[in-house]
Amino acid sequence: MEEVLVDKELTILKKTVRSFVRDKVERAELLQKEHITELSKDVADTLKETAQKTGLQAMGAKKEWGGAGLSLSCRTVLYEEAAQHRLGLFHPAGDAFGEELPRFLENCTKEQINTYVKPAIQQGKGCFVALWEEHEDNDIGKLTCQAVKDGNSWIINGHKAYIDKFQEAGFGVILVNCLGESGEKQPTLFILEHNDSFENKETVLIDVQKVNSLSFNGMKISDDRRIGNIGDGAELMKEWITEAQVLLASRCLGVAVKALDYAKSYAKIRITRGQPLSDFPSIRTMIASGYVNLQAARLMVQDAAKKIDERAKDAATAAGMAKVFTTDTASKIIDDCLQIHGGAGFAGDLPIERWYKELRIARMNLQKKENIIEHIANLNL
Amino acid sequence: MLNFSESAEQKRMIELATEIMEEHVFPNEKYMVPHRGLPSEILKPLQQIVKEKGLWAGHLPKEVGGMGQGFVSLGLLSEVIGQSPIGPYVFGSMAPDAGNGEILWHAATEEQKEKYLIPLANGDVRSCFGMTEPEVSGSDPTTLQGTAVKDGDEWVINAHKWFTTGAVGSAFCIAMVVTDPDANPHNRTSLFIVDTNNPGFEVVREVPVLGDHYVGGHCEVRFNNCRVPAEAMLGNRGEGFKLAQLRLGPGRITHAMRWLGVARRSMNEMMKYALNQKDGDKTLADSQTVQNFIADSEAEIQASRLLTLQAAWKMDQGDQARKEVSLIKLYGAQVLNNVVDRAIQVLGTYGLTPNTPLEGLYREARAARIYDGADEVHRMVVARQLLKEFKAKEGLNEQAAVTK
Repeated sequence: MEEVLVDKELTILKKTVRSFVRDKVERAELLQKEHITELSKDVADTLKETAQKTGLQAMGAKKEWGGAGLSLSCRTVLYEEAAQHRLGLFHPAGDAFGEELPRFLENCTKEQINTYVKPAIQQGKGCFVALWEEHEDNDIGKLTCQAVKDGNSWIINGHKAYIDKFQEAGFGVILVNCLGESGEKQPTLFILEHNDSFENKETVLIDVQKVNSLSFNGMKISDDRRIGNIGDGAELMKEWITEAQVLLASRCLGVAVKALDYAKSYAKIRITRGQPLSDFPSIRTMIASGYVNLQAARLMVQDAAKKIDERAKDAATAAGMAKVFTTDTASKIIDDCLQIHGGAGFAGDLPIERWYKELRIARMNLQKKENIIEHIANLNL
Repeated sequence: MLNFSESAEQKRMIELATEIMEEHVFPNEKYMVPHRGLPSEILKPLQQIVKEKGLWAGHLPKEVGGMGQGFVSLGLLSEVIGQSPIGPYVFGSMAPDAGNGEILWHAATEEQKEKYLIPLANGDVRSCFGMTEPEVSGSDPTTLQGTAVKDGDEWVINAHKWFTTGAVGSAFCIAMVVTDPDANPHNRTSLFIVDTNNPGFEVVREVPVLGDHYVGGHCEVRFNNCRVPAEAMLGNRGEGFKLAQLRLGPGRITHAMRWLGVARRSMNEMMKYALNQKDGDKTLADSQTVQNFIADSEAEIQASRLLTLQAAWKMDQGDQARKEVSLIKLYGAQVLNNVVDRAIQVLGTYGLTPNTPLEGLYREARAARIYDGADEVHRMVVARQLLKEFKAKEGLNEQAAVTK
């Protein structure tokens, strides 16, 4: 049973996250003098220890696995806070709270949970998800990576791409099409270990995010690594996408809040043509519209989270809507924030240029706008 | 009479430049180093080919080894060579050297031309321009704080600048500093040519930035009691603002046409991918959404192109075309960003990998809405000019005529 917090408890928790981010994470970022692109391992480990002491760890994982078991509605509120620092969009609170684990792990066997899930939670590690392929990062039905049965094992062939936080994860999960007797595709999930015999290549997206691609050339994997039933993989992945879309959106809210803070402070002190930028209607409109859209986005995120918590029928649609609207809104806010700062926004001394790159990734992550819009069209027409 | 066709000579120039781009420029992009461009052992022979074909330094007059063909021709050439981040370097017309070459041509003494312009025009040295200061708004150059004070036969410069693009590896810097603080705002500054080996010139750091196509970084520099002889002044005392403006007009034509080259390149990447990417029996290019992206991009590119060529044509007639130049700066920079963004959207996450030029173009493109006047400044220039024209030409009760 997920923990339902009353407003007062959530407010306290939110404040705890806020002070952790401001006092510990932002401070750690500022102490690294050079242009910071990641936290050093020592700093990250220290943050993790501190977070563990305050109980801020594995917020979404089930209590019996060693997590906090918080509902998604609560987590969206907390992640909006946790993302409010330079590295916050993809490393909320400097990753100190550990990674969010996909809900489909609930389908793991007891043995799988003891071997993979619980140790990962204890170490604050996550689970990498090998889902997309180099030229297919939107439609699960079009994926080509496949597995054929070989006694008590499966032989996997194909490739997977754009895997985030690969090294940092404790283990991974891959979606492959198991071929049935008449050649039908049965999408299925399997657990991966780092030392499985796949080829691994690292690349960097838009000069900011490390991702890995994996190649499988006849890799043999035992059937006891399978999660759930054969053929259930696509549905389980869709559940993950739905939840991950809302979590991504909640972090986008946090970064947008921070960007508006930067924009406001700078607009008030920067003088051009005899008056502060904050006196110019163009600038005032950018900032005010930012607040309007941000509030609309926040309500959509909360709505989607609530529907997922309640397992409502339209939860996936609500999550898709929230993802599209929030990533677009945060992109516009950060674009305007960069414009207000001029050259200083283009420079890496401030975090704005990093967010500009990361938002371009966020717009593409977990299905791009065109696909989500098509899904909504299908539902309504 | 209106005529939209290129002259025989312009056609020949475009064909020749396209040939060089395909044979020598695109294949060498893989050797590009972030913030450093091509290694000189690769760059120099390519520059030699361009010189031999007579397409070197489109922005400069023939007397100093340029093409001297006017702004329309310069624009048409910039569009072709702008398709590659290394194109302008191979063709000897990259910022900030191109603008510096233009100022030197207009304002330098014979000695200064001999010492600075000739090697610059020839591509033997690089240069930088020190104007923007971190402490004051780059959108308002009348607020600059760096100073030069006369001391006997010398000037002593003290200034803190940033976005001095290309400072690493430059032979000299043209610095814009206040020499006459009591004069009216547009006559307070003067320009000085400062050798970068002057002990008073310091490159503090290369500022980390979003884009990485410019050679020599976007630097923070300091002039620390930097002493230069009286002859180092470029142009007349108090003419800093005027000369800096002179640098920007033609620069905006080359920028805007270069951006169209980048937009065209992105559009090609988008169409190539859409045609090759199978979606069942169809390709991505059969999707109406993708076709909308293509059509909207083409509309914007064509509009920006005609706007820019018309501004260039006006400048060839001796008109400063201030309103038109502001329009192309404002509109062209937005078109550039729109088209690159759409191209990435079609390619999906693949468009964010280093396997295509798009992610690098996307990062670099964002600067176009800031440098040489932010969007907001150019909107203001355009609106003010239109309102002024309207007030001058029409009684307020008369129906407004369309201004040409």
